[in-house]
Amino acid sequence: MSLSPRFRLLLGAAILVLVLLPLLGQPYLIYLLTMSLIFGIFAMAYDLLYGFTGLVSFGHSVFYGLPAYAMGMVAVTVFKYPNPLVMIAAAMLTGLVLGCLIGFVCTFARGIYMALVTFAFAQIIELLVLHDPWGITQGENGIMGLRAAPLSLGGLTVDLFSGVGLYYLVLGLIIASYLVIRALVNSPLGDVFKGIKQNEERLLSLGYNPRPYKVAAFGLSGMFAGLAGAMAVFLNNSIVPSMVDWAVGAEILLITIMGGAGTLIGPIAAAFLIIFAESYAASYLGGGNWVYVMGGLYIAVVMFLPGGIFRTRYLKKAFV
Amino acid sequence: MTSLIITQILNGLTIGLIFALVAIGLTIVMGLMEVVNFAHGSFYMFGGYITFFVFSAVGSFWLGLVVAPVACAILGLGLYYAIIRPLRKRHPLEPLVALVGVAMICRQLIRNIWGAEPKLLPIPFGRVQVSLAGAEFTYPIYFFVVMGVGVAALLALYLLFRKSDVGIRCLAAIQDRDTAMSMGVNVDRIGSLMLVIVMGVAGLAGGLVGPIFSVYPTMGLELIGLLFVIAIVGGLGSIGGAVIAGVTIAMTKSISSIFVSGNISDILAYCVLLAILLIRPRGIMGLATVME
Repeated sequence: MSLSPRFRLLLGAAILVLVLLPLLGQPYLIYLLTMSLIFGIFAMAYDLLYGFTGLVSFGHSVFYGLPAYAMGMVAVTVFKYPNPLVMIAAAMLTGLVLGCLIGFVCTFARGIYMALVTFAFAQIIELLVLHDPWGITQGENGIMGLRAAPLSLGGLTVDLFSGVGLYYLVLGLIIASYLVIRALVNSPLGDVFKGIKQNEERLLSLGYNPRPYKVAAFGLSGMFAGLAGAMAVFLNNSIVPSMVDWAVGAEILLITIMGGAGTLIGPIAAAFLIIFAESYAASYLGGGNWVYVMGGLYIAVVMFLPGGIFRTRYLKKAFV
Repeated sequence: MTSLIITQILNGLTIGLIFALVAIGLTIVMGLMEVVNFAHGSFYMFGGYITFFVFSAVGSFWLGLVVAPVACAILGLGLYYAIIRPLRKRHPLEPLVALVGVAMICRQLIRNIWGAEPKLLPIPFGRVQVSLAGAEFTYPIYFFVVMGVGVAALLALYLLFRKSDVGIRCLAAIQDRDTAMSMGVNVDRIGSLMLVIVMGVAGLAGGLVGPIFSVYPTMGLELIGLLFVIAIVGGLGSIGGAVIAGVTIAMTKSISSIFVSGNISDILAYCVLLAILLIRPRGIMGLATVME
């Protein structure tokens, strides 16, 4: 996947707009933009697994929610050590380890059966979080008051974890994540991932054992999803059980497919579309009627934009 | 204690049969058309609400139970031509996105018409005195009726797929679609027919549970995850597998709920599923290799 000069220009312009938007000074807009960027990171993580490796997960909520709870353990419930860098590191490490563990178990099965194993894991973990047998998750109440202290770097104090500061942090992280994931899928490892998607039998006959690579794809995807979960914790200043609700995993699957699986940029665009459409529809249509807009949007995108937003004929001709 | 356990076994059997009845539709649509029909739960919900509507308009629950499957079957045909057929050449997950949209719209539609509160249908018949294995207790007759209707519907489906021409063609297409098509099986036409049948069955199941669980707008979405699990654990395209999986799950939940709290019994049910899938990665009676 190489980007044409015209597309690079557009991408640069989009980043410039995103950098300048906080100057408008609307806190709610900043909130929505930050949320979209967070879901953009999450969607890229999902795209790495589904779009490039061809593995469907119905339980990606686990890799978004449990790292958040790991942060809660570090900062509030167990270690009580609210250092933001340690919290982020804990979240990403949790995502990576969980990804490898769940990836190891569910890659015994294949295809839709594998997707079902991820779904069962998501259900079990959601129920465990709600039931809270070890006093870590605080059940339905969730964990509050997590926004970390300002980050101090050599006498300079930067408030990275609220409002505009967090927005710029997440913007930087999404660009970094994009570059890392793109480098990853263009590397020899990425070629094996794509091989698993295209023809697993062929890969076997070339002497590759696909299992460890599948586990690696789960782990890497889990790590970036954990990063997204960590940022959502800073944004909302709370960890709630709805973060491990399987509906979150379903939503990220929908976003990735709508955007165009295997394009990385497409899922980010779809994340913006869904977050903004949901929020504006909800504020204009009372009584839950915004659901009509979202349902209609899901149907319309699939009906009229085969292969997702990013694969529409116009975009393809103009940019890629 | 014995009577409690027997009651829970009977409950598990009743609910398991209902689960199986709905999940069979999901497994057939998934096996035949490679479509994960997320809107399947919505038709189960429609069945419940149509039964409730007929009951409150005419006063007959049984008439509602006849009207609901017919109405759901017609709606199912509409779904086929509106969503599933236009998207049949796409990657299997693309129709899923559109069907999630359909399910969301259906839920909100019901909420706008009948409100968010559950509507309870009165339970027909009274209770009967049961003495079994030395235990004496009373049990609602209606649950036995549900079991009877469930078994009859399952039997009808079994005969359809084993004895009728169209059913055999359908099973052949589930087993190996390309070969079946090259032998002259019209998958599109069978698909539309199957959608009519399975949506009717889902509507019947929705009506049947009205007096047990009451009907409410999220009843379909709540169940869809579990149905999906039953469909796949049973094995795509397998009626027997769906019955075994459905009854196993319902039994695990209802029996373990005697000893542990609701959350833990749900966790146990999912652990059983995980174990089944890890031992038999294509489901209990899976014959299809589709969607691997």
